[in-house]
Amino acid sequence: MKSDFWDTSALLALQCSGDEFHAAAEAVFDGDCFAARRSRAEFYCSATGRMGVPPMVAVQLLESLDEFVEWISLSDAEEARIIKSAPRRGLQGRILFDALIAECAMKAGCKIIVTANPTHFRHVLPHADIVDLTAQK
Amino acid sequence: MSVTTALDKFNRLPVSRALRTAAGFKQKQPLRAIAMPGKIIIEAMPSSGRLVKRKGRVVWTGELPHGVNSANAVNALRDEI
Repeated sequence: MKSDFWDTSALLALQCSGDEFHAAAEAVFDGDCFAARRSRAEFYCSATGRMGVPPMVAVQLLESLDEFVEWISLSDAEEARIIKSAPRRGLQGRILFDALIAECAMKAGCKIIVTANPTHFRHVLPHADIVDLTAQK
Repeated sequence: MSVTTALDKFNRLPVSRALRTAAGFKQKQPLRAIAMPGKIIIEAMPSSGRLVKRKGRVVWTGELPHGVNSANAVNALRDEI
């Protein structure tokens, strides 16, 4: 039964063997997982941007993930609630994106977050069990 | 490393040896330039790579540009938004 939640960085590491966190991601992946639906767009943009993955390849990598990942979306109201709570929680700048992804993890009932960007998740989900791919390479 | 430069009289962009060295660029290395509003990113071309099946998933075997990984690629994307 899937119980872990993968953020965008972890999904990229899993699908690109040239990434320095790929081996760690392969070691942790147990066949299926949850992820935020917004991570699909971030995956494509990051892969075809700085990572230099050809666009058609990036689409194939995403389609391959569709077989293993259950994508979780936030409703308009859920997203609005997270943004509204950001000032009180001390969230400013790009950490908001991780707060929105973390909310998807909560919605899926996941307590294990797999990421190559652990710092933000420790802030937005302090009680989660963070699997830090950067510490396992 | 960050430097200030300017287009020359032929509208070419000079890139100093120090800057090339700091980026890890080698002589005649293929580069890719990406234009965005107000900036141009010049980066090493990744290797072509190929798609392979691994544990039922499709995985890309291409090398990433020097200094790029999944974590800093996502952070850079979010900084650009």
